[in-house]
Amino acid sequence: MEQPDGGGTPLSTNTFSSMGTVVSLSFPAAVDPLLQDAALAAADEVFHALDERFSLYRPASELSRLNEGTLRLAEASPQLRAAYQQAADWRLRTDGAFTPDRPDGALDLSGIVKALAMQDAGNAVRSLGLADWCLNAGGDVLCAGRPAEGSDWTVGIVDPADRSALVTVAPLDPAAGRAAVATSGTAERGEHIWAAGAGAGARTFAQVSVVAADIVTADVLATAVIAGGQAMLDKAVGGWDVEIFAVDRSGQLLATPLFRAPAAG
Amino acid sequence: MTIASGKIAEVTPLQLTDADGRSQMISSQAAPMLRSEVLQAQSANVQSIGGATYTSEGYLTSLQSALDAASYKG
Repeated sequence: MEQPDGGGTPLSTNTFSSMGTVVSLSFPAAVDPLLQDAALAAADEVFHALDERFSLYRPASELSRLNEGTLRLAEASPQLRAAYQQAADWRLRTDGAFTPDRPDGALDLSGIVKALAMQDAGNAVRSLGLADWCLNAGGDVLCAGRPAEGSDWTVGIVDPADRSALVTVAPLDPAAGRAAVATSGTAERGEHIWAAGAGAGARTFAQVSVVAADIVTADVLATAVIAGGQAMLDKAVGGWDVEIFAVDRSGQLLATPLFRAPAAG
Repeated sequence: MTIASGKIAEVTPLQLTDADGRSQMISSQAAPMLRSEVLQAQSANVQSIGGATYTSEGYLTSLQSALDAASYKG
C-alpha cells in the first residue's frame, strides 16, 4: 500500500518507549499543544509505573520478587493483587486459554499489564479534559471521540504475511462500544502465549484482532483465541460483545460482520 | 424447510445451539471471507495501525512509525 498519511486528517502525534515497545499518542492537530504535552507525560508515567512493578526483566520489580519467593502474594501491593485477580478471572472465563501461569510455574502478568496501562493512561488523558485521542501501544489501540468532525478513528490491521501491507481496517466508534482493537499473533515478537486447552484439530490462527468496548477485554480475548483456536473464537464471539478478524495459518480469513465490505454497486 | 406441491411452503430459520443450550444468532458468527470481501483502507485513510506487538526495534520499520512521522509534533 501507499505510505499511510492519516488520509488528510490533521493529527499531532508524539511517542515514548515503555514495556519493550513504543507508545504513540495522537490528537486532532488543533488540540492545545500544552495539553498534549501534559497528556503524554501522564501516559508515560502510568506506563513506567506499571512496568516497574510488573516487569520480569527487572529483578527488583515486585512481580520478580514474588516469583523468586522473597515476597508473598498476601504481602503484595493492592495493585499487584488486583492485576493477579483480574488475570485469574480471565483464566476462568476463557477456560484457561488465557492464563497468567507460565509452563515453568512463574506468574507472568505481561498478558494483561500493557492493556491495564493503556486503560489507566486513557483515563489519565481523559481526566485532563481531552475527549478526542488515539493511544497505540505496540499495535494495540484505544481511542476516544473522533479524529475530526464527521469521521471515526480507523485502524489499519497489518497483514501477518507482509508487515508493510494492511489486510483490513477496523472502524472504531467509541460511542457505539467499539473503542479498542487488540491484535495477537506470532508475526512480530514471541508473544506471551502458550497453548492451553486447544483441542486436537483446533484451527490455529497466525493473527487475531478483537474489537471491544475496552482494551483489556480486546487484548485478553485476542491472546485467548491465538492460544485456544477455533473453539475459543466461537466462545468469544458468542459470549462477549466483540468483533473478531482472524487470519489462519494458511492465510484464510475468518471474520464477524463489522469487517465485511459493503457489497459493490 | 417444507416443500408442498413442488414449491417452498415454509422456511424455518436455522438455529444454532451452543454447548449450554443457548441459541445463537448465526449472523453474529465469524464467517470465512475472501480478501476481496473485507473492509479495505480507502486511499490510506487510517489514523493508527494495529498488529502483533512490535519491539522498540520493530517499531522503527513499522507502518505505525511511518504514520507517526507524518504527524510528528516534535
